[in-house]
Amino acid sequence: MAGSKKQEQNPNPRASRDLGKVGEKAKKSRLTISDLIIPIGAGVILLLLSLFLFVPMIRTARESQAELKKVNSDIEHLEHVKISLDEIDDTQIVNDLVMVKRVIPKVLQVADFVYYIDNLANSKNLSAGELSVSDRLASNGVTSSLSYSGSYDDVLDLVDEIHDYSPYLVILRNIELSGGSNNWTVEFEITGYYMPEQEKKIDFYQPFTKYTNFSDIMDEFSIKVQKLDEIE
Amino acid sequence: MSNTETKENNTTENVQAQEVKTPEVTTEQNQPEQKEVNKENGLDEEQKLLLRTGQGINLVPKQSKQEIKKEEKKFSLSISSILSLILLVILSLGIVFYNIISTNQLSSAKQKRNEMESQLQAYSDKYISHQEIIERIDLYKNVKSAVYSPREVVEYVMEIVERQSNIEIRGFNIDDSLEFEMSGETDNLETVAKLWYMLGVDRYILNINLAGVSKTDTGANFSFEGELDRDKFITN
Repeated sequence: MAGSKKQEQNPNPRASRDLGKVGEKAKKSRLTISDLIIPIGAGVILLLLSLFLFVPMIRTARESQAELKKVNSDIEHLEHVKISLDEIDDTQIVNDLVMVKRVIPKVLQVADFVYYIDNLANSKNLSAGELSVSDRLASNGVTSSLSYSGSYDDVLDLVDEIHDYSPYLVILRNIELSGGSNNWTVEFEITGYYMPEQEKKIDFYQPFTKYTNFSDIMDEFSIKVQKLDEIE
Repeated sequence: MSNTETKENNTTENVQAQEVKTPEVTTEQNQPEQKEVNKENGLDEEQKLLLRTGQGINLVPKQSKQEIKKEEKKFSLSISSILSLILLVILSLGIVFYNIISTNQLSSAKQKRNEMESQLQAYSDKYISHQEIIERIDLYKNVKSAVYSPREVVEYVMEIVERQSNIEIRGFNIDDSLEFEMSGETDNLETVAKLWYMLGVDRYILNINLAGVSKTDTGANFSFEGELDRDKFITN
């Protein structure tokens, strides 16, 4: 009992110092910067890596994906071209090329198609007027001015049938009808088309449609070629 | 006194009270009991030293609540740092693998495309022939898209004219855009006006102008300019 009182009156000085330190420690119970170094450092590293490494890598990967999409589309197109060409018979394509080249040849002169117009006009008892050749309109057309005279119906029949009668690809322009009663005169310009030889550039990536899909036009070419064969 | 100072005083007092109590508890009479307790608890030497014994005062302070909270916060921050580092590593690996896979896919696709181009070189002649045919087909379609029947156009306009029996047409011109010029004569100006009206109200004549009119001894001469609806007469 006496001992405990003594201790109460005169506590251990070392204990007092330690108790003081406890008080100080209590004051330092908050988080400090040193405690946050690792989390902040991890965050900064993550941010820097994201900016300078991840973002460019993701961008590169997305560009690769976009280019991959385009390349796959090219592959699909090339496969379509290959399959389509395989479906066309070699002999058939050669024959069809010869046929279309006769209707739209490499070179065309006015006399080539005017000959047929004259034949048609004669069959309708029309008399020919003046003939003149104009300058070439474009790189693939030659134009001539023609005039014929006859009855109203015959003159209209002539201009109506020229397109179908001609074995070449022609078109009428600037049709002028004049006259009265039973004598009418028709003057018009007629352009015949050709396709000159050009240096062929192979580009498999151009849009490709099989020519056999245009069977109706190929049939019209066939009819025109038959007219050429009749004369020849 | 602030709350912090109050708490600190309370802590200090608690420690003091505990330190004061310690000598009463740690008597030689209680030592065997404590040793038994220690033995029962299975404590090692270091842990025993931390307990209050009758031979001295344990000056290692208990942690305060704030310190405990701080330690918990530090622990959670450390865990989150570790997790973020793990996430960083996983993300890096994921992005790198994604990049590698994309690059590999692209290079293999390009290789396949090159192979196909090489195979198609064998079809060059056939391809050229095909393109020549297609060019001519395209030209044919373009030319035919502008073809109309002159007879159909003339007869359509003449049908309107012939509703008036006393009109005679002398000339009729049509161009590619289906603009026409029509000239003729009639016996009076009223007929010209009627004809102008009838041409004007027709739905397939887009516009009509009286280009000229003159009165003669026998009647009147006229000239109209107009434009026809292409959709009606060009069907290709």
